[in-house]
Amino acid sequence: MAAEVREAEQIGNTSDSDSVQTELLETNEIPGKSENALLVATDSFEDLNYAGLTNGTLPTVSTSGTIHSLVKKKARRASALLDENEAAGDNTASSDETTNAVDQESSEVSGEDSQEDHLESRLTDLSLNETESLPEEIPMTQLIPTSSDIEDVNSLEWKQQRRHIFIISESGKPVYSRHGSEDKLVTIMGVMQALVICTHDFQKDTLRSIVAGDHKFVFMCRDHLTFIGITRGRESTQQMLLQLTYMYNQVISVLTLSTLTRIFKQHRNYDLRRPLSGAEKFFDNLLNLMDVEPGLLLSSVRCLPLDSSVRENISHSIVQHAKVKDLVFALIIAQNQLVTLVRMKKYYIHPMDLHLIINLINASESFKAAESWTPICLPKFDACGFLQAHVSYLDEECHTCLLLLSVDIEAFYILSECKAKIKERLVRYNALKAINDSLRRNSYSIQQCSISDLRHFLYKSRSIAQYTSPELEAPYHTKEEQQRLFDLYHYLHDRIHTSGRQLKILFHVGPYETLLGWVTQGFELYAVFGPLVTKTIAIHAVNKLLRWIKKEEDRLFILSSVTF
Amino acid sequence: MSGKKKADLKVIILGDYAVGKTSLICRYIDGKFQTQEPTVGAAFFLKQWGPYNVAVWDTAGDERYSGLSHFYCRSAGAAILAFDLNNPKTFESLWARFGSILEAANEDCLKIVVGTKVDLLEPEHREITIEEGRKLSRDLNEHIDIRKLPHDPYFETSSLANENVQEVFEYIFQYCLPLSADQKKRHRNQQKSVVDLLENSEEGDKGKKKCC
Repeated sequence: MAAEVREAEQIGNTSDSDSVQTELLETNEIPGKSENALLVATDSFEDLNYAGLTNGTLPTVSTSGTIHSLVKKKARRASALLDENEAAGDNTASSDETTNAVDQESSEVSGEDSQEDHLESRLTDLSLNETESLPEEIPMTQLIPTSSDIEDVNSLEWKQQRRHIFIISESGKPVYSRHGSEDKLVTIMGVMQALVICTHDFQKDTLRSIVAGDHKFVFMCRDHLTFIGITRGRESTQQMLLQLTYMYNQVISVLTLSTLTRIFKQHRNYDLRRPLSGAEKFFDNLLNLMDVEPGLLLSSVRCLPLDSSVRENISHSIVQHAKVKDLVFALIIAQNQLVTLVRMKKYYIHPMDLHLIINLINASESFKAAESWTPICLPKFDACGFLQAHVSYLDEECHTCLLLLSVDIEAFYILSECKAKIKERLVRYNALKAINDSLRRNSYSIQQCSISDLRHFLYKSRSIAQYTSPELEAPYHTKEEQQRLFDLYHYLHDRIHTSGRQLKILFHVGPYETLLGWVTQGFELYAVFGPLVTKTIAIHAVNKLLRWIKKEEDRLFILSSVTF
Repeated sequence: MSGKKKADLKVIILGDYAVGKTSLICRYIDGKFQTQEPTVGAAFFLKQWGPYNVAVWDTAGDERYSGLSHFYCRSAGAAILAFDLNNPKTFESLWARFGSILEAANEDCLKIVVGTKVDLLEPEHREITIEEGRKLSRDLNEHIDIRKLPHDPYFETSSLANENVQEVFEYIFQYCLPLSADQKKRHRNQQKSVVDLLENSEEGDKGKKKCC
């Protein structure tokens, strides 16, 4: 496929692109820019970097102990929070140490070869074909999957999966596999863990990726676990790493980092599937979400388009009726889109954490039955403790979900009252109806931007970590075409961010569409045009688009953050 | 709506993963059976019993949520210990896992042992006898005067076939919040009218489908 593509690329590369950029950008104002952001501003390039992945710490939020300090703050209601903090007189201290130790260790490793582009050993070697042998080499009899080995490594269905994700414990025990049952994959998982360990022990190096034929194997080791992603799609190594990082965060979200380290400290060969049982659906769902939701790639969140007055009204209702001690975040999510977020002063939410929250709701139907109370760890907020989430749907159709995140495990009944009051007020002011109307209108059509030949785009405002994009319309109305569009975005994103040098502008002519990617201090824009568009037309169109987004920014983004 | 003070009784349901706790509660509260997604954390229901409000906590069976158990067990007046009649392991768990968890509940907490999925049970393959179940239920309730109860707090239910489900809850409520004969009658009538309406509407739906 890639070989067929006629490429004509013009790259404004780093050296002179500043001047190019100022010439290109016709407006001075960046759409969706805000000094008062509600999310932790992210830069997907940094997040994709090895250094960024391993350090994890953010300037605004400390990775650990946030909950502890929040709890400490309130008048020594000791042992109130969670057993994490309860049992943790010595525990918080020790787990802090371990976090640091792990961080140091991994940053050392990444320091070693951060100069070279990552280690990509191209193995066309035969030894690998044993595990990834090509279908045509297998005799016909083996190709037909029988019911007994349908989930086996030899089954065609298993082999033809576009992407595999595995989690293995340090001692080589299977923890998770996206396709097939872990029990039947013990051997292949053992082989992969052996590769990792051999590289580490004999070469004193870290195995990062292998390319074999059209498959790419990406490895990530963190906290006694090895995460392995295998793809024959167009994701780059670093994009796969980002996916693995999300998987790691999901593990932490279920267990907390302190529990994870404690478990493996006590029993090196512990079967982690036990504490994770029932959580498989969160992993599966998260991976599915990555295939349809560009926000995870961009480390940003999509907001439900709403008139700013309506949104203000909603946040105001929450502030007024949920002014409760120990409530850290209150948010409303409707069909994977953020409606509003109210936060405690000084505490921010990271888009990666927000994606885990969205995944929690998205993956489980059980919240639709009744008000629920569940622990959730947000790794970027505090990897070592649980927040308690009060989860409830506000409407009969179960579209609009309210989440109240507190550090107090006893707060359920108070939050339940808050929820009743918030709901009543939102019904009275027709805010729920406004949310439902917006959901029914399906975001917006590309035609509303009235730019001919522009087929689709992703626009991310960096300072607020939010993105916007129109509905998927023809020609991207089938699953295959949507997959192709996603591949294009992955390609564009990768070329701009991770080809060793960061580009500012990339113009790419493909057989079916023309792509323009543009990254500045303030925004990232990925636009898809018809195939016959020239560079000048594309740049004009993009400027027009930026003006349109600027005009609509109050509706498309949450520009000011509300605190309790 | 759901303030702590307003609930007169707190009932919790415990038991291993996938024994049918949510199905049991949904059968009682909504009067219908549907396949359930695994519960996440704990879910809260409010139910009327005569003049009283009863808070019902449905909990997740997964071990990773055991951190929550203190929260929902505290001041529980009754606990339903559910196990799958077709899976002896889940019966053993009642002793092994949930005995200690329930120490946080009220001292006079009534513990009801409930075997689920009796509709799937083939009598010749039965591994847990009725007598074993009864014995466990008596042992668990050593602290309360068992003679006050009409029979051992042990039930075998089917949420699918609506067998013995009402009886479990009425047994609990009648013990913890006794209603007079008159109140009970009124409550039955209320319940009945609810069920009737539902059955009617279901029939109506079926009729429509046939028309199409």
